[in-house]
Amino acid sequence: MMVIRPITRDDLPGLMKLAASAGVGLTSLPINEERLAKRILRSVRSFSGEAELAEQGYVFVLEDGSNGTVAGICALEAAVGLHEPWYNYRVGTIVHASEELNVYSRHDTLFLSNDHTGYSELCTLFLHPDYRVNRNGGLLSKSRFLFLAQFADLFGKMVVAEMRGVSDSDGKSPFWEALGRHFFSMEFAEADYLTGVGQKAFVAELMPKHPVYIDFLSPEARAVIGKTHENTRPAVAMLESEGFRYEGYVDIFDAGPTVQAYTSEIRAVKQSVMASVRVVTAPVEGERKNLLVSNTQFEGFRVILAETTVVDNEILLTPEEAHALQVGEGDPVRCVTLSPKETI
Amino acid sequence: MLVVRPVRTSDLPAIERMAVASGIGVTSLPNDRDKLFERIQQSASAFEHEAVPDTGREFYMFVLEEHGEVVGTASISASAGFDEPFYSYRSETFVHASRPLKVNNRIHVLNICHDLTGMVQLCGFYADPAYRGLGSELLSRARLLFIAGQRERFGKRILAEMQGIHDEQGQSPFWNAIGRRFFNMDFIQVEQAFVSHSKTFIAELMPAYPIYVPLLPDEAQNAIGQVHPDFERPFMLLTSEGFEADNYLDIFDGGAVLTADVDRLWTVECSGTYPVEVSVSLPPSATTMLLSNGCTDRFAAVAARVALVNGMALMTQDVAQVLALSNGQPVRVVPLHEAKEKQS
Repeated sequence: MMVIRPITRDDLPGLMKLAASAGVGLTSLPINEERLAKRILRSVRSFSGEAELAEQGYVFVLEDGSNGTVAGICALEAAVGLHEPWYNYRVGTIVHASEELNVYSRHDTLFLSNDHTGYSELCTLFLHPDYRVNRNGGLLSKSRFLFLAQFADLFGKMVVAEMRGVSDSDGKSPFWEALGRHFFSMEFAEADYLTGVGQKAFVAELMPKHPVYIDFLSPEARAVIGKTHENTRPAVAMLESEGFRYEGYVDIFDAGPTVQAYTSEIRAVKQSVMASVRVVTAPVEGERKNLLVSNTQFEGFRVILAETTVVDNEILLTPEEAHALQVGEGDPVRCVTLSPKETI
Repeated sequence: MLVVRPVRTSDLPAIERMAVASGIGVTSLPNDRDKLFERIQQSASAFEHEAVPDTGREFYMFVLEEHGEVVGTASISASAGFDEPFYSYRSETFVHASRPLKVNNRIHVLNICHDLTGMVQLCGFYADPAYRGLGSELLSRARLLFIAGQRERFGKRILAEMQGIHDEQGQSPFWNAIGRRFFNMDFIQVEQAFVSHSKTFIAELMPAYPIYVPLLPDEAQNAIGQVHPDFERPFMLLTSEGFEADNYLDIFDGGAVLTADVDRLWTVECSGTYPVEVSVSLPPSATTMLLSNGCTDRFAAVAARVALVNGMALMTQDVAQVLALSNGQPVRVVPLHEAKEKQS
C-alpha cells in the first residue's frame, strides 16, 4: 500500500536516494545532505507548531508500505515571500493610441511584481521513475489538496504553482538569453541552481526593476513567455483540471507560467467531503471509484488512494487501508474522487 | 560681405527653398509654406518686442545673406517647448549589484525626461553647401552674439539638438528599434507628423518606461548619441563653443542633444564691446573676426577685418555701414574659432 505522510528526520537517507534518481535537473531536490536535512527540519518544525508563518513549509513523502521506500516527495509552502521578496513578472498590456495620428498599438509589458506575497505554494513534486504507475502521481500531487482542505486556516486565500519554462536540451532558456543574461554574466543553469538553493531573491534583485517592453526581446524569447517546458505539460494539465489558471504571472528567469487558484475553489478542496470509516473485510460491492482519503490528524496526517465507495456518509475501507490511514471504525476521514470527472 | 540679420517676410521664398534642401531631420525648418510664414511672423514680433525677464514663446529667426542673396538660416527658441514639455532621453546608469553573488553590473538605461524644458534652444540651422566654412561659423555664432548682447532675454542654460544617424532612404536604426514598434511609421512619416502636429504631441505616444539599452539591437545601440555626417559642421561649431554631448538624446533618432551654460559659451565669455572707429585703411594687426551691433530688430552680424587698437575697434566704412554703426557706438567683437585653436 502506498501512503502519503509528513516527512520525518529518519527519511534523510531515503530522500538522498530519491534525489539521486532525480539527477541534476531538479533544483528543488538537490543531492546535498545538509540542505535536505534543513528542509526536513523546517517541515518537522512546521508540523510541531514551532515555525512562524514565514518559515512554515509542509513536506510529505510517498512511502511504499511493503518495504518502507521513499518513492516520492511533495510540499506546500504556507506563505511565500515573507522572509525574502517573492518575484514574478506580470505580463501586462500597455496601449499607445492616437486617433488623430491613426496610431493604435498594444504592447505586452513585463512588470516586476511581488503580487503573490503571502500566497501558498505547491512545490517540490518528484516521483521516482519506478513508481510512475498505478495513479501514484495523482495521489502524490493531489494529496496536498486534502491537507489544504483540512487545515485551511494555515494557508493563504490563493495557491500558486510555478511551472518550468521552456529550455532546450542544453539547458539554455531563450528568455534568459534575451533578458537575464544582459543583467549579469551568468548561465541560466547557474541562476536556476541559485534559485533552487534559496538564493532566488538575490538573483531577482539583479533583474530589471522597471517594466520591460516585450517588443524589445528576441522573437524566440517572446514565443516562450508563459509557456511550459514539454516535460511539465502533464503537470499543468492536471492543475488546470483542478481549477488552476494562468493569470499572466511568469517566472522572472525562464518565463514559465505561474498557475494559481483560490484555495477554496480548487476542485479537490471544494468537493472533498467528510465521512466515517466502516471497516469491511469482504470485497466492496457496487460502483467503486478511485478516492483520495485522508485522516484528520495534523502531525499524523495520512493519505491513501482507495478504490471504494461512500454510502450514507460512510466510507468502506479494508483493514489494510484503515491501518495505513491510522484510523479505526467510526473515525472521521476526508475524501474526494481522484478524477475531476467523477463525483462521490 | 557675409551678413546675418533677422528674417523678413520677403525672405519666405528663400526660406522655403532651404526647407526643401535641408531634407529630413531639421524639423524646426518644416517643409510647409504656412508654417514657415508663421515662423517668420513669430520671429518679427519677437525682435520687435521689448526684453522681458520671463522668457516665453519668443522665436528669433536669422538669415545669412551675401550680395543680397539669402544663403542660410538659423534660429533661437527662447524657451524649448515653451508651454508644453520638451521630451528627451536621459542616459543613465543603473548598477545591478549583489554582494552575496559577487556580481556588479552597470546597465545603460534611457529614461524619458523633461529636464531640458524651458532652456534656450538653438535650432533650424541650414547653410547652403558653398557656405559651410566661414559662412556657417558666422551664422551659428551670430545667434550667440545676439544672446550676449541681449542677455536679459535668455535663460541660463542652452541646448541644441543634433540630427541622429539615418540613411539616404530615411531609415533610422534608433527609430526602427524603439519608436517604430509603437507607431508603425517610418522615420520620414514621423518627421512629417512633426509638421502637422507638435513634436510633443508625438513624444507623448512614445514608451514612458525606461529603455534598457542592452535589449536593443546593436545598430540601435551604436546610433545612441551619434551625429549625422551632415551635422558634423554645426556639431564642431557648437562643441568649440563649449557645448557638451553628455547625457541627453533625441527620443526619435537617438541624436545627441548638446547642452551648455549660456554664460560659459566661448562667444559670450570672450566677446567684448568696443567703440567703433571708422578708418580708411586698417593696420597690419587687423584680422577677420565676428562683429555685431547691439540692436534687436536691426540686429546685424558680419565676419570682417577689424583691428583692436587703444580700446577702439577699427573698421572700414562699408562694415560700419552694414552694422548701422557710426564712430563711438559700441560694437561686439569676438575672434574666430581658429584663433582660439591657435592660442591653445
